[in-house]
Amino acid sequence: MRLLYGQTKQGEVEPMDPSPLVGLRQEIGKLLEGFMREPFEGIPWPFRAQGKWSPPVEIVDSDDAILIRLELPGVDPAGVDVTVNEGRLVIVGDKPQPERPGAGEVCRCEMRYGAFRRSIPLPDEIDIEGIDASYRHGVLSLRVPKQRPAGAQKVHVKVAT
Amino acid sequence: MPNSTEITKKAADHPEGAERMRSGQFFRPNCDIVERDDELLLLADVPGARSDQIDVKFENGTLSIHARVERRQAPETEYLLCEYAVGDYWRTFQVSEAVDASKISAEYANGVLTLHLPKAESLKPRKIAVTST
Repeated sequence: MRLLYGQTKQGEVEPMDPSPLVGLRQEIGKLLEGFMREPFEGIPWPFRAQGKWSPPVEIVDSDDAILIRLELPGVDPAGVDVTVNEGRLVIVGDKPQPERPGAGEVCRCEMRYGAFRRSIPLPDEIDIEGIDASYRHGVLSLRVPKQRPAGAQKVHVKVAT
Repeated sequence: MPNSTEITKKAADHPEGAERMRSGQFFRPNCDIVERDDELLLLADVPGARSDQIDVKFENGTLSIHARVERRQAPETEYLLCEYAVGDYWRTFQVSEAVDASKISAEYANGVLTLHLPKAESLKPRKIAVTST
């Protein structure tokens, strides 16, 4: 995977001029990347390249909640839909390709546009009503509070030495 | 759920002379570049950065974008899943078109940096009227 990612070398500057190979390389990279991340989830793989993409996610299990963050630069938060369905947290939205009047040649196109979807399985003991979402500087943060099982009490157990 | 080691951001080494940041690692933001009649339009994805943390420089035909990003989790955090790393963004471009450096403007919204690089007057397309005699 790494080889496809064309790293910026020490002090190297990139030309702004388009190269026909750049687009091809990116396309191959995107296809592989998508396949490695979610090979068979959602729509069949061969159709993935036509639009739907899944944003990268980070998940942290803290004491009282599950914290989920997604990097979604350039997405209108009003158009992002977060739902809980059958034990899965589903994030759906769209990043429309902006209209650019008077645009001539597109020299570089690395951003992803179109509909995206990400589905994350949740544990049973969560407080669905208490889920909180916020969007700042292109990062969507979700907080899924954990629920204490009803009737459970903290019990101290003395350990004999 | 296993810890994922696949990082979806591209790494960028810092250029000579640049100050090394705490993480010591830069990421290369995804960019779109569109050429218009009168300007070059550059968009860069720098999610997580605030507008006051973004530095854009244009020197000797080289455009550099540097965005600082604060850590969102404690370093010892254990992730259930981690598909991207958080760190500063750095990218440089050699701009071959003659650009009017004094008129470069930048906007920032929702994690996307938009740069307008107006072309120098001499390069703008001009329609020359042909008069018949």
